[in-house]
Amino acid sequence: MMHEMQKLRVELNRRCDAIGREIRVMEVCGTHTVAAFRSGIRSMLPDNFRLISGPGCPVCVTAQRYIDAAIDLASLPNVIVATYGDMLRVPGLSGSLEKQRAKGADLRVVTSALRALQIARDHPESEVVFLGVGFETTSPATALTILEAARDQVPNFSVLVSHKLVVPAMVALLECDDMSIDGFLCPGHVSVIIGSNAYAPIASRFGKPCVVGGFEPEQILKALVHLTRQIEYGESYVENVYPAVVTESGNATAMDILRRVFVPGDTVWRALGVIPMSGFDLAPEFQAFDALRRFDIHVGEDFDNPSCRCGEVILGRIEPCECALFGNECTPLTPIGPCMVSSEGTCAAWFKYNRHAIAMGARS
Amino acid sequence: MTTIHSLVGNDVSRPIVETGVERIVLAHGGGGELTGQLIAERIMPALANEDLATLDDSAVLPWCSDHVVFTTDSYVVTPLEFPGGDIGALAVAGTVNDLAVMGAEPVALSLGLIIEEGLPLETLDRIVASISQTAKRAGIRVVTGDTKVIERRTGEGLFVNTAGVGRLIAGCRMSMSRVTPGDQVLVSGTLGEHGLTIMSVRGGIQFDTTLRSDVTPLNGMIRRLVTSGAEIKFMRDATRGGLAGVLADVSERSGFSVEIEESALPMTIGARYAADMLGLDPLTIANEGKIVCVVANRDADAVCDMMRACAEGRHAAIIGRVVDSTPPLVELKTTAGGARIVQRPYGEELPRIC
Amino acid sequence: MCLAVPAKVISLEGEDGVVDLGGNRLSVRMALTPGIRVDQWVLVHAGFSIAKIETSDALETWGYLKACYAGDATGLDRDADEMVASSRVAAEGTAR
Repeated sequence: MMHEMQKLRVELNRRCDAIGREIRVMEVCGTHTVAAFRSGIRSMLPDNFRLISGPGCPVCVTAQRYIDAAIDLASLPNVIVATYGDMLRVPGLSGSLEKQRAKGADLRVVTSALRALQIARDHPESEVVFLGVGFETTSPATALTILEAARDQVPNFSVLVSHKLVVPAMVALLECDDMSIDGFLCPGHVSVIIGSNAYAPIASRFGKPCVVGGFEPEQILKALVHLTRQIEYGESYVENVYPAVVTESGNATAMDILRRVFVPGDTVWRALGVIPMSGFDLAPEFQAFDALRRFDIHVGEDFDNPSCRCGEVILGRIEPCECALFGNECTPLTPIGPCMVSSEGTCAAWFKYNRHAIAMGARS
Repeated sequence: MTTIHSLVGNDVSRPIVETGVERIVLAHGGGGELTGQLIAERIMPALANEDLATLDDSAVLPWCSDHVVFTTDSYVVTPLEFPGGDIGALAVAGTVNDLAVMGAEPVALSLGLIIEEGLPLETLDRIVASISQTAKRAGIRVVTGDTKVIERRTGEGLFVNTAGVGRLIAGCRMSMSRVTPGDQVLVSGTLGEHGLTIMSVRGGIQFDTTLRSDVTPLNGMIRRLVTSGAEIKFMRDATRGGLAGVLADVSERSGFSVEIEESALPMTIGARYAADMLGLDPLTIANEGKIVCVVANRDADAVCDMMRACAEGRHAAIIGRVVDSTPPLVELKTTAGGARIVQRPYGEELPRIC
Repeated sequence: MCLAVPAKVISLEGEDGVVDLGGNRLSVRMALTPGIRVDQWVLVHAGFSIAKIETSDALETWGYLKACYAGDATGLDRDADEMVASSRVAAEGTAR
């Protein structure tokens, strides 16, 4: 393995030298963000290679109004809110779900939507609301759980849906005027579901290389080498270097289920605003499972902290350390912006693994 | 040093419907007949010794040592019993280990039980038996204690406080200020098993696992180390905050950096995979039977061998070294050939799915 | 986003399966990988299998995980298994 890693590093360095200018590659997957830091990949990138973390963390991009709605739901008597662990510390307008739990809300951390449905079956006297967040990797799990709830007529289960779609977000980024990206490291596990062909419009319409990569250090490095190869030769096409699990067309069963349960709709992304057709709404026949309707919760507005530059971080315009709040007022203990909240958030990953990068650089 | 907050909401509404289960009632804490009966029948038989048997307000202990080492810790864990241990074992081993890592020979423990109304008496019995067993293994006695009952909240609640006193072993002087560049950093065994085991039995997260908590008293092994003449400068048990927490303390308080090698960190496959599955960094996961040692370079191999000669330390390893570089940081050299900074975790680490 | 791990299918009952991840066993819904069989490998995310994996690919990742930390060189996992076995015997002896 080390031999292969060494070969990849040599090739990456050589191609970056040949390109001879700053190369800006964006990953749109929080797991890539964390894996690149945790494995030390970031520390081995050539000086002129900039790996930008795009809107790849579902927690980061979940709008404040959605957190507020979740908190409203958690405040209702006899309601159990079930959620993935990362959502607990995301700040809404008035606190977080974690703080709401301290006030007495019944909040359960689950590792699967099915566990949330099981809680509903175990507690017929309570209402159980599942927070459906995540990209296409995760939304089939929510969809199947809703299908099961419908089949078994579980009356006390509902979902607050905030699922997002990756490709429309990538397109929206590319349509920004001052966006300069040389290529995309495409999310491996989203691609398991949607297939590598889903990125074809980005390669053809916008002329950006797209390489689907895995999450082991060697897999990440390999994807970056393939990206620089395309950049060096001025090419742009879709490459899949994670063929173990990713196919051109994706998981047909999962895509069918998504089409059955959800319909695409405009949705709001934190710090990015509304992106057309970038999210899922429940299809008409499943709207009985919509928590907002069931509890008549009004989704409010977003009030972003004016000093917070998370939007620019997500857009890849600045690095976290260029934000005045980073590491000062805004830390993982006292997150202001969404990028600091999740452990996958760009700012949290930077704070955890890279805060002293400058000092380290000076040392070596 | 073991506080694990409940991840799941508590089901207060479910009434007790089963019969034949004897439970703690508020009157068990009333200081009357029922309290006396609880202590005499449920606690004393397991823990009996001449000091505890007097049931006086305080224990009077013979003493001959220049320094008393004194510590206290409270234990809260959900669930109370888990693979490899329970709150009782944690309470004894945790306090014993806190004394031992300071270079002390643990002498006596106090035991404070705060019991929730509704706790099944048989659960209490098992935990008291575990306290007794763990204390025997550590060679320490519970010499004074207290029991209180609080109103029902979950019906499964028990909180334990243990304080401990020990004699400082002659010549022992554990101090962060003695740490200098060139010192080696050792860990006494495999990482992450306690925290991952607890996760595996939490509602909403559960999975079947061969993992067990590593909770165990380490004073026997530590005594051998500190009386060997090896120059051990600092020791701490890597409980909450894991290895990352201890190393961050070493670096911050000594003013030097610590460099560790990912490839040297001992972990079982089961723990590695469970951490990967839950999205957790193994370095930040709690242990209850592992110490981190900073040892003078020339004695590092000998100390590692001594640890490996003990059952509790048989997977001990030299994982890194203290280096002179500023600012003081903990740096991990990754197996992939890169490097990253290790920081202490921010609080309760939650499993990630996204 | 999207943590997913390779795991081996241990048992199947309709769409419900149990998978093994290095000694950790997880209940997984197999509906997204129709036709999967026992002993095959799947990629698991949020309690669902989302893709079938050719065994050699799964083992490659597994191999990486193994190589990442020390342990195998010292026979650590075999020892850990022994420890588990002995603590199980101990546990069976108690009231639990």
